[in-house]
Amino acid sequence: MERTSLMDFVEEILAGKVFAISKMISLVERRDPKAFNAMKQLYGKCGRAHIIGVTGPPGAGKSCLVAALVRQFRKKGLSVGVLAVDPSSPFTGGAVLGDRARMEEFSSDPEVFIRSLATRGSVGGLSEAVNGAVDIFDAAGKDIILIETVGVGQNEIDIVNLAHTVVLALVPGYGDWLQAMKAGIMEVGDILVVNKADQPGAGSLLNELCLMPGKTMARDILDNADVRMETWRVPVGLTTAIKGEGTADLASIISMHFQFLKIGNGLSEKNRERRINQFLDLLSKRMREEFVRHYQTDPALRGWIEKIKNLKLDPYQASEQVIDFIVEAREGKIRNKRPTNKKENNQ
Amino acid sequence: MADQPIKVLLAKKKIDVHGRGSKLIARELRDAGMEVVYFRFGTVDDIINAAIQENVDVIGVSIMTSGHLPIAEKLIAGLKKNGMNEVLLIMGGVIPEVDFKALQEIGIHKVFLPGLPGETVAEYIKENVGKARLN
Amino acid sequence: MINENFQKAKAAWEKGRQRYADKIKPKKNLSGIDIKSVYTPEDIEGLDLATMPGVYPYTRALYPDGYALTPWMQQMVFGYGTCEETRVKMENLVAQGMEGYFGHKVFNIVYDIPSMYGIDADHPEAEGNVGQCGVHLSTVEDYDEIIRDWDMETTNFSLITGDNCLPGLALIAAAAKRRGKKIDVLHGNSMNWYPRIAVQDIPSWEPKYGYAMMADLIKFCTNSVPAWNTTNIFMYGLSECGATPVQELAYGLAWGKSVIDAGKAAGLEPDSFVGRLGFQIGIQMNLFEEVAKLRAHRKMWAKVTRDAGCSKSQCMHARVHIHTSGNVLTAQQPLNNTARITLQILAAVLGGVQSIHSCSYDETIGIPTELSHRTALRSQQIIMWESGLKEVADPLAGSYYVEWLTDQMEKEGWKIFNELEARGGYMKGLEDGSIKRDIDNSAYETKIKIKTGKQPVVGLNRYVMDEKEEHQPFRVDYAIEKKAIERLRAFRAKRNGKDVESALENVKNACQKLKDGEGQLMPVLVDAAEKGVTNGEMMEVMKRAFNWVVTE
Repeated sequence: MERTSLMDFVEEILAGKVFAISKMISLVERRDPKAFNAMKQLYGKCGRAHIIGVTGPPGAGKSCLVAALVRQFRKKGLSVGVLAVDPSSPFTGGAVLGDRARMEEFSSDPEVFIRSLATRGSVGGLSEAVNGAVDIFDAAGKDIILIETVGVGQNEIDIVNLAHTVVLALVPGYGDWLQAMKAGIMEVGDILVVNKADQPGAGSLLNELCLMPGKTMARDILDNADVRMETWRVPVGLTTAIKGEGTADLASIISMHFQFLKIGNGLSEKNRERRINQFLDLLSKRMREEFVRHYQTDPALRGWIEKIKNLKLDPYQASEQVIDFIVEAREGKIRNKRPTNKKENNQ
Repeated sequence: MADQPIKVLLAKKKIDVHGRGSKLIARELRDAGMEVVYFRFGTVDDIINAAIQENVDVIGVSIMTSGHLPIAEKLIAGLKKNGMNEVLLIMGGVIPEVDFKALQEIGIHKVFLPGLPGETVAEYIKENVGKARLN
Repeated sequence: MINENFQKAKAAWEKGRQRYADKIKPKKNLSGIDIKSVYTPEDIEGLDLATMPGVYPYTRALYPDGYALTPWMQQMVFGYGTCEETRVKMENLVAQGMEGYFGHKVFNIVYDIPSMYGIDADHPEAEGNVGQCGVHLSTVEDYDEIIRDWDMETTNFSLITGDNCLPGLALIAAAAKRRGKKIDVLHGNSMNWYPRIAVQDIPSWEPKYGYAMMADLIKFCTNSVPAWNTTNIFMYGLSECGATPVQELAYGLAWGKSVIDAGKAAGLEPDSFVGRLGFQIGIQMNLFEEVAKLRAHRKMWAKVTRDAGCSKSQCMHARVHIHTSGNVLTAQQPLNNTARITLQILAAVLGGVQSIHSCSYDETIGIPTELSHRTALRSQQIIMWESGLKEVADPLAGSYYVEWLTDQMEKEGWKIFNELEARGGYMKGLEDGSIKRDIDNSAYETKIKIKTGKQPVVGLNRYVMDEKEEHQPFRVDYAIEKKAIERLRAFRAKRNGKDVESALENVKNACQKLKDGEGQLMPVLVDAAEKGVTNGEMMEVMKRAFNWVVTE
């Protein structure tokens, strides 16, 4: 992209133009090299938005919960970006992205931008695209960014790295899942929500969760807490998202958490964690891509790779050699040299 | 860069009933490796907004209780106005074959009869996506 | 002696087919039951076939002589435009000989989508949809045009509403009252089919309110409109969404049971209301599977109702209206559909149902033309008068295949029914989306079978032709919308604004009381209808009270 059209494009995004934002997200999704330059420009304008992750097992009613939260935040006059993430089929690569259907009521609200994303085989579940999309929304001026994901396995860790506030939605009847995830729940979830509160078992699930260490009744936080508190006790509350019940309180608690993070060191800590993880993720992906690109076009490198494939060179040594090569290059020791099979030669 | 999945918006007109057909197409397009934003019901404006926010390659509208001609006109006019000029437009459902030509003249790229296997739709999309222009 | 002869015949049969026997394998029918190529007395050994038509459990027929007393009702669905156009259509169909029991009139009126959703003609969302696939009925005057001059004692009005069931009944009751009639003279059907939401992705009431309103309508009719059929257990909706015949059977029975439970919970005695529940069932293409399904259905419903506390025979009757499946018709070579529809009617008649709507051959293209509508009606009339089929009750009884298959459908049906009941029944299945998932999966499997040719469909995966279809559909002029809006505006101008306001306030309060488990909504709606409140205005208040959303 030429410099001027790139700047125009970036300006449009910063001005909140819908199609520009949308196209930018697509570029990031496609890992289009054009995206990189634009992202570099946008990066400086990030940092205002409150990034909220909503996760939980399938059937927890996350889409309804997110829709209800959008409604609440809009009532406060905040502009909202929603990223609805659904898994891609590992077999076909396709996906059905159905979360948008729950948010029909915002179709004509210009301050609500909803984007559906598929994980596209991203190891860990949350794609690099989501990270980029968050920055794009942030730069475009969204006050609130809601990320809806499926909480299965690795996803939870990813969302913890990305979001400022993680809302974990559970429903009665997920006893087994709860048991399996119990260890994970300790770390995931700044706020726990028992959704579908009108169903039997909701009350007892609420009680069970409140008894866990570090957790407390949502009412406690709403009524008594001071955002200047030292530690955040995880509030557990009830909602019936499909009716909107309990969601005004949830939105308030979410805002309180953001305040808490800002006043303490929490926010900067999270941002630091996020950026370093983002960097490492980008780095490992790009390194891999670059390497693959190189050995596909460089015959000498290809020959070296063939050795690995023919079981003549083990992957452990091979990776060590590449690392050594880079370290030596950094130390200015290498000029026009290919990584060699040193040990083999010496034998 | 690997082949990017084709992104499709599947919508039914608001107000309508009978979603069996488009629900199945959504599944079949997913089986064919596409990303399908399954929108359920929307007015033409809703559909346009969604298409732009999602930056889809294809918009598929399912119509079971008539209105295909006025909807097609409104949809194309709205897309052009918003600058979305390169999207593939398809329609399906209870649409009489005698109206296919009129729809194509308005600018719908392809109209499908009911009951066809999803592969037919998927193949058409794969062959024509990226070449589509709104006239 | 008989057994000896049979064994001899069987041995000879086995010998005769030895050469190719291994090439003939049982084939699964649509319900997944393996079907052999030949059935014998051995297949029905042990089955209880000592039943008669008109005798519990009514497997063979509801009435002792089947159709010999009076044939099934020809109950063709119709409706488009405003009440004026539909009125003309009503008179036309009567002129074409469409009739119910004993020559009574029966009208099966379908509403347009805006009316179904509770949206009046002048609402922005109605644009482009008014009168298009049904008739727009929103005021008591519209309903008056529908009932005008028909003899109420011998005319049956079946109102195919959407979720506006209660307003629909209220408005026709108000129209009757305006003509000086007492509402207990009303004969007809309310759909009262909220539970169809289990398989539809459209917005509707919150489940517990949907059920509360169903019970409210049933209670109202039990007390004040005793000849009105309160509920349509819409099994057809399940099969059109993809349910196999046995799933349709099982989920239909579970649906019916959930309605009985709701009525009982509302304080009604089973014998007082179960007799006014009815079924609407689909017919797909496997002829004997459908006949067996219908026979099993009668037997199973008799048991369900008796177990629920019914003692009167009418209350244990499964009264069935058939709507031949539209989904199996093709857009390719539409005239082929006449053969399909004929077979579907045949299956229904062999199954001994009470009334039939037969689809038109251009079903996949648009709403029926005069010709296609008439042809569908004539198909029924030919079978009724020329084929001799109505002279004998349950003619397939005793058939080794049909009796065996009836038993199989019953067994497989109970499996699905019992599993759902153990999990909490139909309402639970609606709330957690399990019924929808099950049926969606069947739809998907069916599509794959058709795609691979395992399930042949002539014109679609066999004998495919490249012809362009020149059939002109029936088109409803969009100008009708303007007429409907003007009519509505004129009506509103005439009303007493204060009466309307207070009536709406009453509706709002009645809704709240219903939510609290007290009072009745229907009488308040009837009163509102009399004061000039429209379908859309009633529905708006109700939507706010009862949460209008899309379930899982």
